[in-house]
Amino acid sequence: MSDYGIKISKPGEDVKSASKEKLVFSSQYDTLKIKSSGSGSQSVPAATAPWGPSGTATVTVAHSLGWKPLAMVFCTSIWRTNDKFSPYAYKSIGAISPDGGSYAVDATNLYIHLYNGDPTGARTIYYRYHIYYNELA
Amino acid sequence: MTNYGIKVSKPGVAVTDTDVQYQVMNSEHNSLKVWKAGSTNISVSAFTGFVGTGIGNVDIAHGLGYSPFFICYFKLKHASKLWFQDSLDTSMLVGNFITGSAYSNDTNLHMHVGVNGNNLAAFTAVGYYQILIDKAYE
Repeated sequence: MSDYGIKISKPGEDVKSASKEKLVFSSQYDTLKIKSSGSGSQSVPAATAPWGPSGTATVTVAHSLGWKPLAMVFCTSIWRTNDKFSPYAYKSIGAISPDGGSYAVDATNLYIHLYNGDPTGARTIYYRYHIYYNELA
Repeated sequence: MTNYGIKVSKPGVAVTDTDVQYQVMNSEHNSLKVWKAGSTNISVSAFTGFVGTGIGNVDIAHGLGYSPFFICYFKLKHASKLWFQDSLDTSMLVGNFITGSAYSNDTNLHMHVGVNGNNLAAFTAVGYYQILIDKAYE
């Protein structure tokens, strides 16, 4: 059988003729499949001086997949208090005092690198992550 | 027919009486669908401290005709890790960094690598992408 599977269209669309972007689901296309999710908080030491290097801390999350997986992470910012969670580092004054998080994966772990650009004291940064089965290859 | 579709619940919960956050799949709600996934080399020029140096760009044609949602990772210069788009590879002198960033338009996924910091020889980065069928805007 060369043409089989499941398709589900959005309301009001004929599943037999709907274009791919009008489908809620199609087994023809891969989907993002969550392996694990989690959240937490990490105290990050103060920056060493005003406009100086940020304090840093790294949260390491083992995923045991054996390949480099797609992952998405959000964390809080210490400066932009209206932005509760952001996926990106805030590159203030070059990157001398970045704030927030940078994220990386390898075949063993997800690394959540956290930055505190505040020289007045340690700050707590909150994070949330999803690790997917989808391989970066 | 007013009530039809597919629901799949997480282990241990009945699909007939659980809320959507406890379901693995529910056809009442859209799911992200991968259109194209792969990787590409990105040649990054030497950074000499001047504007326009230390950059590399690659366009990935997607053929969708609209700007799609996407997720990118980058293998930058110093580590075997893959960095999520717009993360900082700070494996250089303090205050210096490399980033990989991206955007999509109606034609391409545009992947960019930029260096900010101490002088750095040219190198080849690798961009990993997942282009999704779902539109970045409606």
